[in-house]
Amino acid sequence: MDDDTKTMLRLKNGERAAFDELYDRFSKKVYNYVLRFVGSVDVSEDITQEVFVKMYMAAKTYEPTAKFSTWLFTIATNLAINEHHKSKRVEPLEADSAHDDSPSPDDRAALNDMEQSIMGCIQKLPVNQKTAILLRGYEGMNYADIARVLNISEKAVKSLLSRARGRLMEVDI
Amino acid sequence: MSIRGIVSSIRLHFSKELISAYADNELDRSSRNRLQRLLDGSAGARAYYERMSMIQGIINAVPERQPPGDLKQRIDSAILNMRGQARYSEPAHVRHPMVWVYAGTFAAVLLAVVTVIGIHRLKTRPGVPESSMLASIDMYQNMGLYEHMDMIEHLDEVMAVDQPEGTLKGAVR
Repeated sequence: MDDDTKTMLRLKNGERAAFDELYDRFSKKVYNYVLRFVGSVDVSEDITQEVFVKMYMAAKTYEPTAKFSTWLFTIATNLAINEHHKSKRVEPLEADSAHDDSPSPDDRAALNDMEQSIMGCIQKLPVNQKTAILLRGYEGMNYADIARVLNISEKAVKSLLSRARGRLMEVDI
Repeated sequence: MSIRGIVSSIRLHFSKELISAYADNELDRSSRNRLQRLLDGSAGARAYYERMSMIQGIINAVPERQPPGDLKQRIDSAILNMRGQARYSEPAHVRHPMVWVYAGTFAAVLLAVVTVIGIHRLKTRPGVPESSMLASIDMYQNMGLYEHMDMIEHLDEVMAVDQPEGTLKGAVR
């Protein structure tokens, strides 16, 4: 059992300090993962907050069936995908941004050119490919863990990553 | 394009997944050896691998950003809020598990007090004989000693309360 899982079990047993430890270890990773997923600073802050609130509330029923980080990133991924679907639903109402996947002006001010360029390309990927490329690229997750997060086979992960990279290679970065 | 070139591009097309997995170090030994042979023998495969590695390198190089300083505070207050809501939505006995202990104790004390008061009133009520006195009367009845009953003090009071009409009236004074 890894250290993070042990810490989560301490939280399950009511030790509040364990929550602070997990926050210190994972807040930056979760925040950056979500930021790259949704491409918006404000939304990524909200989702990161929700991830940790959910983690806290789910501690009572937590069972260490997988690595803690895989479990946590599954929560983050589900919330990010929900947000992705939500924003796709409201898009037609906003005529100016209906086909614009680039970051907002506020976000642009907060990010440098390379980040913007990478984010823009990744934002255009289908959601499963995006998830796979982010979990692999930024989090360094192996195929087995990505498969758990996405609830697909390792073979499917291999295919998703290959297709995602193929698409990214078509874009000038 | 020569036949050799066509064969090479077909091989590359079917090897893209392998090249992607190779870049992630997710191939077993035999697949890795097979791919290394392909890379050694195909300029197109080598170019594809190099471009893919470059893209992955750029993705990995995007610096991580710090989450906002007040995020933890926001999470803590959101948790407090959620816990409050969760507790209010629980039934009273879940919110206050000691309520059953208090209620049980109160009921036991009440029962004890009522019992003590009841016994005390029964003993002191005028005209109601104590149970030992009634037992003595029964004994006399069983022995057929009606003629001695008038010797018992207060028997008339006893008979007025508890004995059936006409059974012993004749024996009383």
